[in-house]
Amino acid sequence: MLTGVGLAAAQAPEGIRPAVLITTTPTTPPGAPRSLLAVIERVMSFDANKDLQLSRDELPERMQGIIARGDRNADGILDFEELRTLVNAAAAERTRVAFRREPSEGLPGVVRDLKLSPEKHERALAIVNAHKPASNVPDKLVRNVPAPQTIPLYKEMRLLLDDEEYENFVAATERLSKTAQVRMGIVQGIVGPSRR
Amino acid sequence: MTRIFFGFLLAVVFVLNAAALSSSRLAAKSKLNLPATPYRYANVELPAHFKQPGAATHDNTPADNPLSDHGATLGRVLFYDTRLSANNTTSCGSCHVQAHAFADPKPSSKGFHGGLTDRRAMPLVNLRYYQRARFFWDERAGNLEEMVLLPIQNRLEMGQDLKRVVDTLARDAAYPGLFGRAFGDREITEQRIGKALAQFVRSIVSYQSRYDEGRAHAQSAHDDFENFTRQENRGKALFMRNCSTCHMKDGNEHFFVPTPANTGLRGDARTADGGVGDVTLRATDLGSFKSPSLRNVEVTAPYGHDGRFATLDALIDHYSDNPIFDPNLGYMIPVGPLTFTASEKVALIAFLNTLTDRTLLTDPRFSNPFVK
Repeated sequence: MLTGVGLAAAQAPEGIRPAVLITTTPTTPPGAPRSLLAVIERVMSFDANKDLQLSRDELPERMQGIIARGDRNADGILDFEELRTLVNAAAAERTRVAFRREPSEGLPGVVRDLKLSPEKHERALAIVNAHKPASNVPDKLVRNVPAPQTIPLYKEMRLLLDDEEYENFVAATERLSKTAQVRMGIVQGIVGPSRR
Repeated sequence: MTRIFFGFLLAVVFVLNAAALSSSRLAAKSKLNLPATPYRYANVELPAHFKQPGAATHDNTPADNPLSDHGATLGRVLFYDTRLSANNTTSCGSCHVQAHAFADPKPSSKGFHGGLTDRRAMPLVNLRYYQRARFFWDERAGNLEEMVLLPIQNRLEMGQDLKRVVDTLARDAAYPGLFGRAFGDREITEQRIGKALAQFVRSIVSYQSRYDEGRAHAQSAHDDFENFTRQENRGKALFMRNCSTCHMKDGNEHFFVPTPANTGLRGDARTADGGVGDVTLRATDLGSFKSPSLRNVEVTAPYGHDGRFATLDALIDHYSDNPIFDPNLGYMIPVGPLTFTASEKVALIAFLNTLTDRTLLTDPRFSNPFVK
């Protein structure tokens, strides 16, 4: 199965460096629970005597609260059916927290973060503005970002910045392009099921 | 036969006396040293950036347990009293160490019988401003008043019976008066013990770091701070650009992540810890953990719920260099590895170190009041 970089690289024209790192759902690591059954299996793994019932002694102290929550017949034990009911009810609850990304400042923001000397900062901003893509942030570069050394913007920045500053400039622009992918919703799989 | 019986009786009496003596020696070894006028815990003047619009909604102080100087003083005494453990050896402060922002500098904490916990003792800084008011790594405690009593009763941590604590404190010379000043009468109850401890913990607020000094003179957290070096401002810019969406949501400068998060730590063969999912029983919560405030992060190593990251470098490497594939990854790692350069990592750590509040780490208001 082709995933991530492999797929993107396979489709990228020669000389064009793919920026899309993840384009398909990543494989699930072994043992990673994704379903209700997996939760039930995990909790039942504490059933030391394999009688399909969980007593307080069998659960870690931090998990013993689930017995009180699910013990419908009040016998002090969580049996398999009670656990299944509890897990189904939990799955029905929806939780969501909205995280709003900081508005992107695009390449001028990247330059600002470098904390260059005032003179160098002005020159870097001038270069960036001269090469500004039509849509402010390099969203247009998202799907296929050419290798930095082939782009005039990077060539000029390379002449201006020292080695460390240039390395940081390149790293920041790469992060910026990946962030843009998330905004465009083209990174799949890595944003998990809680993002609904 | 009679000789044997009396011999046995003598041995029992000797053992009981020795135990009682040992206990009284423990108590006698330390003396409670409190100021004549209580320290100020309530109504402390906080910096302006703690008073941004909406900041008040982050305060989880309940209406029935407002912070008072006498209440927090009582809480401080309880926090450091080893008699809250079954064998008089362990207090809350044994694992929550002030010099480490009330975290344990070890990956596992040692319980009253020497057993080791499978999770770290969390830092206790600025918990008052954790809006969800849910506590522990798995957020199983629904409020601070409940949270503070659970380690006391935990079989591994302090192993104590709360009723026994109440009896012990009622017989003590100092406690009835301390409860009287805190609550208006001298009655000692389990609920009041919880309230006083919660007040003390809520009073532990970090607000005097170099970050706070710089922030006081800046219009915005995004501006360069006058008191920062270039590297620190560079680290702050990197943090704002790449980390603040979660660690500083809506400009919250307590540096909490506002909900538990799965940051790819679940592949943990050592403890097979399901985190929040073990409590909520939601599949998508498996591997999620509450995140402590980043304030004082310099002194709260090791990091992670199981202390798997020994240093800040190792922690940042986790987010920087590792492609993290986990079906439960939420909003946390939307761009995969952040691929920080070496100098970016150094700058980030320089910034994080500005969040250290040396005043808090040595403040006598939060120190052990029992002196030898």
